[in-house]
Amino acid sequence: MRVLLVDDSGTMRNIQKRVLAALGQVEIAEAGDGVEALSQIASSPQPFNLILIDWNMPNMDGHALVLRIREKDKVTPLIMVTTEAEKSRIIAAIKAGVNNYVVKPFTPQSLLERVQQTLEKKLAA
Amino acid sequence: MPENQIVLQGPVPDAVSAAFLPLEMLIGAGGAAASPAANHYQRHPLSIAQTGQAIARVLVPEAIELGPNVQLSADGREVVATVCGQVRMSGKRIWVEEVLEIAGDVDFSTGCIEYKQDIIVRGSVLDLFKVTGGGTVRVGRAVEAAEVRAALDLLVAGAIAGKEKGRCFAGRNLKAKHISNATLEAGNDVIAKTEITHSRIICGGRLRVDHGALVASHVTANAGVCCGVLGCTSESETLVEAGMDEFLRRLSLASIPKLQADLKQIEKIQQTVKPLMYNQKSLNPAQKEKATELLCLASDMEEGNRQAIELLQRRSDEAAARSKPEIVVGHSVCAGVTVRFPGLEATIPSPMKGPLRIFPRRVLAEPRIMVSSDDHRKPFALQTRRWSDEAMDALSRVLPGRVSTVAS
Repeated sequence: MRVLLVDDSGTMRNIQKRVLAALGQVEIAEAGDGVEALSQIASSPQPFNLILIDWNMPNMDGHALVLRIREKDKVTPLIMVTTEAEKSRIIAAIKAGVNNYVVKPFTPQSLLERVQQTLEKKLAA
Repeated sequence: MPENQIVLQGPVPDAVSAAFLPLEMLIGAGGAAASPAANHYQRHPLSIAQTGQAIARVLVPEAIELGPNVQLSADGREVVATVCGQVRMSGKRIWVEEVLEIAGDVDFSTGCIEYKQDIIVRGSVLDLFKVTGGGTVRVGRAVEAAEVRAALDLLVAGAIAGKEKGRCFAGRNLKAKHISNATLEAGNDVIAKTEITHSRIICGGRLRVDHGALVASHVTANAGVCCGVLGCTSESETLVEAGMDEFLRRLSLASIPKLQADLKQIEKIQQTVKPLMYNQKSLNPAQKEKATELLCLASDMEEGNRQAIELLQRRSDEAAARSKPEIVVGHSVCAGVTVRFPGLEATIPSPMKGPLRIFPRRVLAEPRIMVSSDDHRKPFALQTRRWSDEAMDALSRVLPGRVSTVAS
């Protein structure tokens, strides 16, 4: 499975990597902002199976990134992992096309559960 | 002009009788020998091949003969080892032997030996040399002030005469004729034929000197001790700990302080993060990310602790299953010998004649060290002291109800 982690914080990407390691064999790519993520997606030889996206990032934020991804790709599961907890933000993200929404602070277990939930829904669809 | 001088004389080689090498060796003497930095103890002349390693290039295919554990590569140009072992050549025959055999002593002619499988040393292992085997190590004569490690059994036909520097380790059983001035550790039994003197012995199984003496030594044997004579009349101290697992004790000492420090740290993190989790709306993004970091750190530490406790539990159960707190003496016990069982200790007050058995038992709810012998109709109690073992006390706090001692 290939996963793209998009977050400007290296610490947060490391935490997500450790959590995803529980899924078994996972190939992880990282991007520090939306622009870098788009270039990774475009240059990737194989499509990603899952993308975790932070909202607040320099150059291009997570919301804009979701909109750009969904212009071309309606199927890859996207999970917003963010400190933004307001209802309006959550609705905006869902409207933009995210499949799940995780609010920081989270425990490793809660993030893992959301990831598994998202992947299971994708498989069932 | 100098006169013509003959420097070489002989028949002119012809195409038929020209000398040739059927093989060009691709591996040389042991790794350490190749390094100019290696000292003389580390150098050795043995060629050790790994499984699948090309050991020789074939120059004249019809002039070679393949022995056991080798095969030709797909293109027929190389001889490849099919097992890990010592490369041997004799005439046109090449093969790999799984067992490493040293015909004489382990000394400067062989250097220190490190080998993944069984080792046979026909002679002795001399002072300051090291032998490390991934299987069973057999020594035909003696182990002197050397270090010998065997992942399985260590079988010494002669003595282990450590001269206070010798150290022997065996994953399973360790056998020798005589053991003196050495430090020995074995996962299972330690068996000496004639005598053990001035040594430190640790074994996960039983220590047996069935017909000989155990003198001036410190022994810790989880499955008990059996000897002919215990102690000596001189002032050299003999201490025997039976039914106690030194390896578990060491593991406890190594892991419990970290475990306890981690538990404190986890508690501290939880105390910091808990109020924040109830009031998430008041947190700024940086605080939320910090809280996530702390939660993940606590989760990692909890997982580490869970694994450490599981390991301690498993080792503790294994040790308990093998524990046999008894000392069996065939001939006699000298005064002054100290015997220890989990939580209890006693010193032999006066010489006792065997055959006898020393063991712990509760007498009227009070734990005692008892002696039963043919001379006495009923077992009698020695003056017993409580003995506190820091490591096992800490372990019983970590695994409440799992670590039992006679004293508890």
